[in-house]
Amino acid sequence: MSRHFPHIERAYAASLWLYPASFRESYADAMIQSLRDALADSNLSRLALLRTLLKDLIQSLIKENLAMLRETISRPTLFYNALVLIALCTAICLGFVVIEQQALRQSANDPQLGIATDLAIRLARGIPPTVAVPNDKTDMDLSLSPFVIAYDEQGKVLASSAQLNGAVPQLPQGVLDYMRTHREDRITWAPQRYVRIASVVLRVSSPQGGFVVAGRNLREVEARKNLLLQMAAFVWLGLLGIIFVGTFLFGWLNHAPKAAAA
Amino acid sequence: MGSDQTSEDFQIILLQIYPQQMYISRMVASTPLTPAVFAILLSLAEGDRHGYAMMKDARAPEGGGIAMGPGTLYGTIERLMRDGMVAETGITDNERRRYYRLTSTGRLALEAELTRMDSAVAAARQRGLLPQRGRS
Repeated sequence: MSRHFPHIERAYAASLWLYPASFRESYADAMIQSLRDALADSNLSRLALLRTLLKDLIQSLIKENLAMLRETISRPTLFYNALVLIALCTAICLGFVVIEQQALRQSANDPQLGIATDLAIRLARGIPPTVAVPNDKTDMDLSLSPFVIAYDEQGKVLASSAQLNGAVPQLPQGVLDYMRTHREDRITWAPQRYVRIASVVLRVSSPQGGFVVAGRNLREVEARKNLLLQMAAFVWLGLLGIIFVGTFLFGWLNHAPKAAAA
Repeated sequence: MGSDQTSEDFQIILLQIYPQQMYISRMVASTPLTPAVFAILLSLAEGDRHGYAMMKDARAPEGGGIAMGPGTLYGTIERLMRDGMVAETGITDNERRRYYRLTSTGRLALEAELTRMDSAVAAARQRGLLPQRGRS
């Protein structure tokens, strides 16, 4: 008789908590009674019953929970709320990434702003470019230190503390054209592939004119931007997971039992 | 509607009388039943049954020969009730034991499945895959 196997009944009753609430509320008693009847059946081997029970438990748990999940997702209010939350989280994460990346990029210009301003003032006072520009050569590809380059009004290099592959790179013609009508420009200059420079270009206020460029390799800043993007993606996925689990749990806990068909 | 009618026949009739059962009637016409559904419907065709009685019938070779546990049984019953093929009788001999009965829609589905199986068996006999039926 079933009273000889209370541990099986207890274990089975405990496992029923893994079913969706509505299913459990509707059928838990009947399922336990069916097990009790099966245990009382002397023609049924206990081993075969336990094997069937275990297989059935795994299969039906997956099936019923998936069915519940499908119904949860198909419930308009829950689905709509989840979509709004996903959109909100996506917008917040994207906004955070854009703002932080811009802040990082803009702050990468800070040393160059001061350096370019000082150099432009010295050149405007008549100090020769070869004197005003430091003699030490900074490799634009490898070094993270700031550098300066002085150009004349036609864009010819007058003096430089930078070099790339043994030569001083030329500013793009578009930048020079822009500087002929503007006082300052802040650009990301890519003199060759994989070399990106945070550059500040200033016009020299003197009768001779000309321009100065102060730049710095963006490698480290871009590494931080990538790290930031990865962290934001991680947070975004975490938030999606929370929304998914929350929606699933809410649907699981608030699922109205179905009315039995007459 | 007799059992000799084709599945297409009662698909049309169901559409005329119960338009809301269009899905069920379409399923009757085109989709073979799963082993669990077939075993439950077959068990209930003999009369009202409670859960374990259906499991026992299903385990027997003539009842489908499938070992079905309570989870599969009641999950399938829930879907069959939703589709109007099975209904709870409301009569019980134990507060936990629930009895179910076959509805007319469920009987039609079972008959359609049996007709389909009968056709398949007849085709298999014609092709020599099964021995010819002996004289009774």
